[in-house]
Amino acid sequence: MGEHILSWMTFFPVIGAAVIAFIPSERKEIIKTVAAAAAAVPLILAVQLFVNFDRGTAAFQFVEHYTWIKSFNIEYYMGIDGLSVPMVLLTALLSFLCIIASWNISKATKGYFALFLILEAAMIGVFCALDFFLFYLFWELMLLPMYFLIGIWGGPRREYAAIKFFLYTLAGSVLMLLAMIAFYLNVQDPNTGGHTFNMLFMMDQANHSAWLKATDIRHLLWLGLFIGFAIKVPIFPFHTWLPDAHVEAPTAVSVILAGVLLKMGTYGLLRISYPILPDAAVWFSFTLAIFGAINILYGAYCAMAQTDMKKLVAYSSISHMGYVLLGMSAMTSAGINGAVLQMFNHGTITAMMFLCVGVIYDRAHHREINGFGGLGLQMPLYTSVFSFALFAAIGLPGLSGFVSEAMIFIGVFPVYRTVAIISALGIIIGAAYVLWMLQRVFLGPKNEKYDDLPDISGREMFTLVPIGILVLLLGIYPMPVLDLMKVSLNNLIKVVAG
Amino acid sequence: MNDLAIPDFGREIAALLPFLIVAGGGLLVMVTDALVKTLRKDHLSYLVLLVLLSVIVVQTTSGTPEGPVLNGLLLLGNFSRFFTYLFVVIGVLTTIFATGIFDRDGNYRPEFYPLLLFAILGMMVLAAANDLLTVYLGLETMSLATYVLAGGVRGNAPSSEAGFKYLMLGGFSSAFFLMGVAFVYGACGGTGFDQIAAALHSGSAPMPFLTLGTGLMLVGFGFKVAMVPFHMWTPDVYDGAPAYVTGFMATAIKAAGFAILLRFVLLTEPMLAFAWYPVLTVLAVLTMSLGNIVALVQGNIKRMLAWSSIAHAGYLLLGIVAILAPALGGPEMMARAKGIVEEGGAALLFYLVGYALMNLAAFGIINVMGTEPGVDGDQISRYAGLSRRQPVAAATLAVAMLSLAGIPPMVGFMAKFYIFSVVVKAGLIPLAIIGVINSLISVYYYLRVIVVMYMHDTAEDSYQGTEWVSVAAAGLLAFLIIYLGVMPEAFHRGAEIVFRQISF
Amino acid sequence: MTGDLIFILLALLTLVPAVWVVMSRNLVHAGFGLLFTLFGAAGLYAYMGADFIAVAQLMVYIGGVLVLVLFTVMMTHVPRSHGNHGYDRYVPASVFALLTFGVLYKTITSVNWSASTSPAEPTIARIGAQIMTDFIFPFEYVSLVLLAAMIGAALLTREERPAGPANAAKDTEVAP
Repeated sequence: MGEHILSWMTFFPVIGAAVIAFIPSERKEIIKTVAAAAAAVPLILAVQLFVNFDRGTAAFQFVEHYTWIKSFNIEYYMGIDGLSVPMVLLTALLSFLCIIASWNISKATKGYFALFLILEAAMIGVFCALDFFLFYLFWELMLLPMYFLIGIWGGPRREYAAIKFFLYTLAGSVLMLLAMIAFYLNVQDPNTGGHTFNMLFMMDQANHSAWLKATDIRHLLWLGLFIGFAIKVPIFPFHTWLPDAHVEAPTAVSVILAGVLLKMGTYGLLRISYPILPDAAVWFSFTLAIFGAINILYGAYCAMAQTDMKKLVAYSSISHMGYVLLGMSAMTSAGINGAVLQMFNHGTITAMMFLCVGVIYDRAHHREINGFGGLGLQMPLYTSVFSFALFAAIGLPGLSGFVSEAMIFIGVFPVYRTVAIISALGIIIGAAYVLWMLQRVFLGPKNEKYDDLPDISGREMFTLVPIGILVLLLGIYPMPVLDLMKVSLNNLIKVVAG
Repeated sequence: MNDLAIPDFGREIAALLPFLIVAGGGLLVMVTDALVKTLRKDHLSYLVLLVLLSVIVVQTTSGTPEGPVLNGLLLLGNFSRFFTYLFVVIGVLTTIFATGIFDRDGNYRPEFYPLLLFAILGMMVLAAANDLLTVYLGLETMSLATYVLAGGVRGNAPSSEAGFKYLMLGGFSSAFFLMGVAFVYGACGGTGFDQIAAALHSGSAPMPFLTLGTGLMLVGFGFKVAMVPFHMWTPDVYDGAPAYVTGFMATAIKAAGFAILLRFVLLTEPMLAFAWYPVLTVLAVLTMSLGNIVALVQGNIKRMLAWSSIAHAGYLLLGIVAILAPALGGPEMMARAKGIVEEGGAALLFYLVGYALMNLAAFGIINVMGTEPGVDGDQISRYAGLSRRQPVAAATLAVAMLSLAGIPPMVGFMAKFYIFSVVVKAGLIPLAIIGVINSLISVYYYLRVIVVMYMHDTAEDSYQGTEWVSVAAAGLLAFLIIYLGVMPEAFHRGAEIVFRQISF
Repeated sequence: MTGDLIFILLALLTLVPAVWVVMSRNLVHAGFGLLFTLFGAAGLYAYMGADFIAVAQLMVYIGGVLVLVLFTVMMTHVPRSHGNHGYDRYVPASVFALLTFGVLYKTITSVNWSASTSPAEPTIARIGAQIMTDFIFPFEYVSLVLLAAMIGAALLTREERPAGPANAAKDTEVAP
């Protein structure tokens, strides 16, 4: 496995899904066990990656490079650098925990776990692909299981939410497809002189054709890619699919959606848009900062108006992704490192929040903030875990969210002072909606309807505790993750900002 | 020239062997049905399969001669062989689907088998044609046989209506085509493709005749491939005909139509690109857009696929437009022309194969799920909850739909990718954008089928029975759809080689 | 001069009954009108020296198609239409016809015609030889086209559950 570690991580879940397809659908326990095992392997490999990753170089590591579709010079080209490692780790961790969190899925169990594993494969694939075509393929492949997971196992309006999710994302990826073809035709493979999908060649400006060197074209391509990625992030005004999808999706799917899928938008910007079109990135950076600020404030503001816990968390995701954009726009070391760290931290924190919402939903079968009250007495353990997650979300010092947000503001402040100051308001609004919810759900008079709600179970704790430990550790000492990405990201800044 | 060249006789027979097998097979099937009374009816299908498989065997093992045969009436080579394979495979699947339904419902149509073989023969002649005379003959054999196939369900009004409508409009289009042939003949002094090419190169042919003639011929081809504005028959005929015939029409006739359209466009391109190009561009855009937009509101799956087949004709036309574009471009374009023409042709052939796979998979399942044609058996709502009743059938149909929508990793995506990248390469970026937007629109209606199958509960009137052979065959197609979507390289290479032979 | 006169007469023979065909509300009358039109066209072919086409026109259209049309009309008892409904269809039809005429006229007049000076020769023998040599394949192949058509015709007109389409087939195998 050492040789092809990325391929194993990507395709082992597919093998698991194939095995599940042959297990009779009544044997639910076996199906779940196989799924957990299939998701555990990438997690173990991820740990191996974390240990063996060379933190001193910006070059791609664990590279696998094979010809795939020769006539279009499409390659099976996988590799990771400091930008993708945290994402791969996050994906492997959350996927495994989500499989555990889905243990009580009883409707069409077989299909659910098979699709979940395929989803995991596609997500890891996106973060490892270094061939644009391969990247696109994984990106699209991710849509299908997600669509089915929301559409079959979702809430009452699942159909609408699933289709909306699918069409929005597809619209975005189609723009990406066009940009991709444009790159393909205008980037020269320095070895053969032909067209190429190789991202590394695309990143080398010397390989660009004259057409691709024109400023207008570059700006146009940037915008195409940006809209494609913005839908995924989602950036206001392309965000409307997100609350619907989150509200309808089953808990584990929400976790993946917020924890991993949203990161793909910002990952795409950093992996593709920034290094391939650095000048356009600079041209766009102030606008990006504005978009970030809007996301922060709009997301927080909307979150404050929600009465559905899941919707609140969904809007808080929009707000938190705004910090990532803000950090990216600054193009300073602190900004970009903070942004990627925020991607990772938001993945863990929001996963905790969604899992916690799932816990209460499984018991009370609703998520109305006003429908509870005084749960603190009824479910003390649950209350403390959820409060922990919420405090992490508002960036309480000592928890991981604080570190990344602080880094982002440190990075942005010297560059876009006004935007940074306005954005900081988001933190206050964030604190407001979180505390408000905390108060209405856990404090106050006890709702007698819920007198016999059992506290959080061992299995649920098993999914929450590892993330919680991570949040706490990275809050105190973020270097393990920062070390991973520092060199690659600083190299990226050098490329972009010169 | 007037004497039959005796020494070549053996070569010509060898060259015609696949054609002779299909023709003779058709007659044999017919006579067997009439004379051998003890035969169980479904044994005829084995005979048909035997005939079709022997075509494949003969064509693969014996090195059939290449080049023009029969005084240049036919041009044999990779191109004709490629399409023969395609038609034969479609024929095999159609036979399996049809027989399955005959078996299940006990309602035999023995005339189906010889007519199917004759239709395939016509298509083979069409793909090999090297003379307008043979084009017409192939076109007519194919059409006459399919008129009857579509309309032949006795006592079924929608089927009769479909057959009659197809016959009337088909006859009309044939008349246009013939008129066009007359003009081209008048302009070039011959009907052979070589003569036409020679007349075009020498510049002796009068342009008005050529433009009018080729324009009228385009009407004829347009009918066959369901191109807007000659598409009006498509929804009614696709809906009225039994699903196994619709599947055949949607795949084989479209492939045959594009085979000859491709050859003819390449033949006349040097002089007529200026006329073909704007016309086909406009028609391609109209065809895609109208097909996709009307498909959005269809409640009947066969009508939906009919409009989708119109839309796919539009995508295919985009490929032809891309092939034509270099001929009009500047010197820089001309330098890239050869590459674009070759890639465009290969993309078209790949698309036709992929389209055949996904449409046959879809119609294979629809065939099993439907009842009588037109008796409201094909409402999408009847597929509600299919994933729980028949997971294999539902998964197959889902794969087919996703592939038609062009979502990776299905073959439909690779096919569209090839086409669009050639279009972009030819510098027609707006066209590519229109195409991409169109395929985005199409996702909605293809997904609706999946939504109904996977996310709705079983409806009361949903069909409960099944026919396993057809489902298995369609499932195999679904596997191929994914396989070719992930591993398109070998096949695409093959298509490029095939195409090179006709791009002079 | 005589030539022009013959041409004008033949053209009139073609066109006048053609108008009758379109205007008549009696299908049998229209059918007979068609007889004269087709005959006039055959005359025009003969006048141009295209003897084979002229004969084919007579045999196929007048001898075959027209007789079929008349038989069909008489056997199916189509009621005579009354009133003037149908006139509103003349407008789009005439627009279409005029357009077609315009296109054809433009095309034909824009070509630089060169008339053949050699006297017309009988072509039937040459066409026959060509069909049996160069075009033997289409000639033979047409029998299959006809066969497919015959199967279809037999299928669509037969009673429920007869012996099968092969009956029709046996007759046609020698037909062409």
